[in-house]
Amino acid sequence: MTGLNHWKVPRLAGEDLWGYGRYGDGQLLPLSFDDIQHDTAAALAAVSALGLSDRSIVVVTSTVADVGYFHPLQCAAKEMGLLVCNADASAMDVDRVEMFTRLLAVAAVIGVNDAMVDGILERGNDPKSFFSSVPMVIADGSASDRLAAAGVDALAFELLGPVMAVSCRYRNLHVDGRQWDIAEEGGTLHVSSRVRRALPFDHFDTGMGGRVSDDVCFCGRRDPIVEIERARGIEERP
Amino acid sequence: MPSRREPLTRMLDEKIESMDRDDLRSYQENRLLESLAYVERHSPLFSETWGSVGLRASDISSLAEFQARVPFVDKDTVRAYRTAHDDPLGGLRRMADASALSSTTGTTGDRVVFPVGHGEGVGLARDWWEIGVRPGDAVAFMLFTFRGPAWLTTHAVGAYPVLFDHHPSEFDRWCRASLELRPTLLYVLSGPLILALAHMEKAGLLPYELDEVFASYKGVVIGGEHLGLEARGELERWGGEPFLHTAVGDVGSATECREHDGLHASEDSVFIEILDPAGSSPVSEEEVGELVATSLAPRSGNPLVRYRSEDLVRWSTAPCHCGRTSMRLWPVGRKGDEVVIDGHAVLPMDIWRAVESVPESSAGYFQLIRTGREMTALKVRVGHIDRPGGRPLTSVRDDLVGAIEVAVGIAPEIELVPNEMLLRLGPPHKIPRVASS
Repeated sequence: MTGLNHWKVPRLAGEDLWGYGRYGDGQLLPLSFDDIQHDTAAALAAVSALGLSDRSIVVVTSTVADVGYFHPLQCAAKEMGLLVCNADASAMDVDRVEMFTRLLAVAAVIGVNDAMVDGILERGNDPKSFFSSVPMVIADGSASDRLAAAGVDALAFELLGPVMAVSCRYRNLHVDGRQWDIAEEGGTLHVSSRVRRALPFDHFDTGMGGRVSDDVCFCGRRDPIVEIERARGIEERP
Repeated sequence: MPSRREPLTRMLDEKIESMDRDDLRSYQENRLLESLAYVERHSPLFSETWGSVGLRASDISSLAEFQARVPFVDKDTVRAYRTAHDDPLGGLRRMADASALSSTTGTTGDRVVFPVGHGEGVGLARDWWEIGVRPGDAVAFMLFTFRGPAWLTTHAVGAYPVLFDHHPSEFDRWCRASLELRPTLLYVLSGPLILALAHMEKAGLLPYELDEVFASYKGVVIGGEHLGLEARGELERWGGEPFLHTAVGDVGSATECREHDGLHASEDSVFIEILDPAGSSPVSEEEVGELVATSLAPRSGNPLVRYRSEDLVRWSTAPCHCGRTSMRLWPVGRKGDEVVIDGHAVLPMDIWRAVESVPESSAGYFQLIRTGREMTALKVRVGHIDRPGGRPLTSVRDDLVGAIEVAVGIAPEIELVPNEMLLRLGPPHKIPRVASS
């Protein structure tokens, strides 16, 4: 939404407004109940594409500020009959993730970020041992790279502005194509909302380089696949 | 969801919140008897514990009988069942009956997994309504995710959440959002976070007038631990009104009303007993005892029965000026935190103000060093700030020894460490107040 101040968003009547999350560089993201419902439908497709069996235990790690992305995912997981445990996606709460993975047959940890990888390392653990009992780890791009360097074969998720893209089990990063258009423009990925949302987006520059394809994926999702190009490799990380 | 035509009352749920104590007891008894039958069917831990003393849920027909016959459990009981039966849920609920898993904070030992059932428990909505949240309001929700989707409580009062991490890195965003959206409640702040906010203000890192930021807030819920004098002073300087808040035996929570005279528990969802910490006899009102909690909503909440929380509280059922008849609690510490020096019991709360009275340790970060309940010396690790050109630490130590001796009658051994060292022991909203070494 070039030229618009995302902070000065129009307020919705209280009955329609689910709440405010965040996106981009700490901007407020107003979400309506309809948005959450649509995002939950999208998350259902994303979780289905992971191929988890019924009653699997998943640990969803998120910070409160990112609940706008993860609440729909959690709702979808519960709707599918998965058993959800919550932990904070922070260095201090990796002990809780460790406890869940030690005590329970956790099928997936979804939402690992850099802070958690930092926490694992600060405690003297190596990520490979930490996640050794977990068949599926889903980490954001940067954390995913660091985990890969440590020998953890993680799937990825990415926050592309207001949109959450999640890998399927075939490692393709999907964006919900019913709600969002995504295209590479001028070297970066831009997203636009296709349906009415509390805050509409029109060619929002995610600042991330990448490519988009509409290839058919074996996972069954017919949503666009994005491939992220990172500006900096893992070896350049400070 | 309450409508905009809701009568102008302080209570969201007036019939429950102002219920006559005798009527409340009958109400609790009915709910308890239903709950016991449910728990026996769904919780292997309790059916085993009760069976071991020849007790069935159907044997209990009154609250009096319940208090006389039903055995206690605590976190160790759950951990022991977990180990003995290789059951990660500690027998609290069968995995098939759980729809989500929560866990304790872990500040007092290995965390315990709490299986949450199907349905909605009684939330914080009543407390928030009393503070002044109304339909259409924004609630700044500044917390963690590990307790599950508590942000949905906002919808129960027709409000909406504005979501922030419980971390100083969010203060700039929170200030901007507060000025923009004018929230009426901040849930939650904690002592460490308030002091971090004050530090950022004084260092010129926040380009906002904090009294303007706080101007829309009708209340700031304080979680984590006791609110120290310095943190309270800073919050009140900005115009924030603190409302103390605590857990009730991992079953519910309790929050101050606008009278600020004790924390109200929602007794329609939890049956509370205040007992001798070393035994099972009730302690009198206004006395300190251990809080023992029984969930009256085990389908949706943690299915705990006569759960000894180790939390020490003063209590009263005297009517409050707010009109609520629910039990009020005044937390004083945790049973496991107590040390006894030459027959003299000391809790962290007993030395808190003494530590705060010394300028270098006014943040109130300290730990009792506890090698056992009975000790020959009072040992305290105290966090301090380094002031350029400040006093020698020997002088700070002397002041602390003097202040604590005045407070508890025992001259302590003091170990001084930088504040940051203790803060790293988080979770950020509190630090462990007792350490083994």
